[in-house]
Amino acid sequence: MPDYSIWILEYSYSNKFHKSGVIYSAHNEGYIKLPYCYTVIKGNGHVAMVDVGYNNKDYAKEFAESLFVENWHSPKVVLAEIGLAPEDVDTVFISHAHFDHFGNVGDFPNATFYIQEREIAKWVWAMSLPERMRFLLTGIDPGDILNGVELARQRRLVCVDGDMDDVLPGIDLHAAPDTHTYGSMWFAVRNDGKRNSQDAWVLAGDLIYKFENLGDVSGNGGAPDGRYLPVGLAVGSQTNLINVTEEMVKLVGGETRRVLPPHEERLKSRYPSRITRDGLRVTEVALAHGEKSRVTD
Amino acid sequence: MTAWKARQALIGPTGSEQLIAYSLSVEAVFGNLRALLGQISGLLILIQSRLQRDAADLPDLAIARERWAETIEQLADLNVPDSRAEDRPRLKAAAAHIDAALRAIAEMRRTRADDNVSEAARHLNNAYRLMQRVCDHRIGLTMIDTSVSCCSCGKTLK
Repeated sequence: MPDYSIWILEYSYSNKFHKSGVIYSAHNEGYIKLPYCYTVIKGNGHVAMVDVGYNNKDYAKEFAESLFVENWHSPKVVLAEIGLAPEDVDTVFISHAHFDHFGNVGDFPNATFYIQEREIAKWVWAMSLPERMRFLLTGIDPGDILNGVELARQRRLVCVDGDMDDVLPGIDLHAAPDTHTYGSMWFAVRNDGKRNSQDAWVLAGDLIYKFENLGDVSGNGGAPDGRYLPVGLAVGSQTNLINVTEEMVKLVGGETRRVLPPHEERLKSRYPSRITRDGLRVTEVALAHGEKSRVTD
Repeated sequence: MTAWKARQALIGPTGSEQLIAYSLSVEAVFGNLRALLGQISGLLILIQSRLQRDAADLPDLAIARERWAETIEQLADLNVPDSRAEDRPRLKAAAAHIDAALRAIAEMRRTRADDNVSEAARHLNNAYRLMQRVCDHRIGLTMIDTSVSCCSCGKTLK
């Protein structure tokens, strides 16, 4: 039986996100629905999350008008759908520092946060550059970095330098420098606890947005049947994005269905899912021993 | 599309020429303060994570200090329309807090570092709140730049 349950929880979505932003070369292909999600990993006595979303309090109107983001709900409401509260979360892995991933740390008072030190250091560098180079700051809220100062003061922010195995038993952090962002990170859950796991899952952060990025053209979730395509929005190198995609796919033995892109709407047809009363999706990827399903009766 | 036309489209038909001109000039001031806020915050994290207390020697701080001085000059030159009269005092106050944060970091070698980190963070939080009160995405003033990750084309084309 798996050691960890894994749920991907939608907390908001944009109904009109330009497709070229998520798939490199998808020019003039219009818009898609882009769910905003975080991932919960529960087991071995821990409740961990990958990313924490953003706090809508300050941005609702602006995002609604500029990004067409709607239906935001708080972690309290979203986590309740799987029987948890934000206070239950003890560990948070931050895939990168964009506002929709690192923007709501204040709602998780008992968690220790892990982030790549490079992610902070290179944002500091980028922020020192002239206004004409502002592209390099896309998606960053300086307020989120400021909230990180308080986490660091409370000794609740761990700046990681590179890969790190068994941060929690069977959960590994993988650095992906100069990809989607300067210090992005992806995560492996070895759900049988074994070093050469036969039940591994990759939580891809924004290194993969859609199945197409994985070369999964048919959407079958098997071995790639097409070419890898980098995500559309990146400040790093396309080469690094392709290389890290290969690393992920290899780690799961070529079974692309085991690489989980949180912004992928079609997760709902690949894994057991339900839509909540609030119109948000709960997707159940794995269930640990003794854990009851949160998507079926 | 020129910057003027892009901004005109964003502000809408009610926007005066003075407001459009102001929005284009204040954006640089705001952008500088926003970048300073993020840069100094990031430095405070790195200082703590590396246990490196002699931050006053970091080259990043000298760059920040130069940018701050440049921003103060730009702020003084702004031609602020009546409808945005409160922007200048708020931005000036935010700049003052950022200055205080820079001074707190520069003091780190002489006093207890934790106190200075707290003091700098307090000033940066104050600056952030003041800048939030100035925010208006129609004139390009936002704490998060999503101009290349959205579909409102032309929003910040220059």
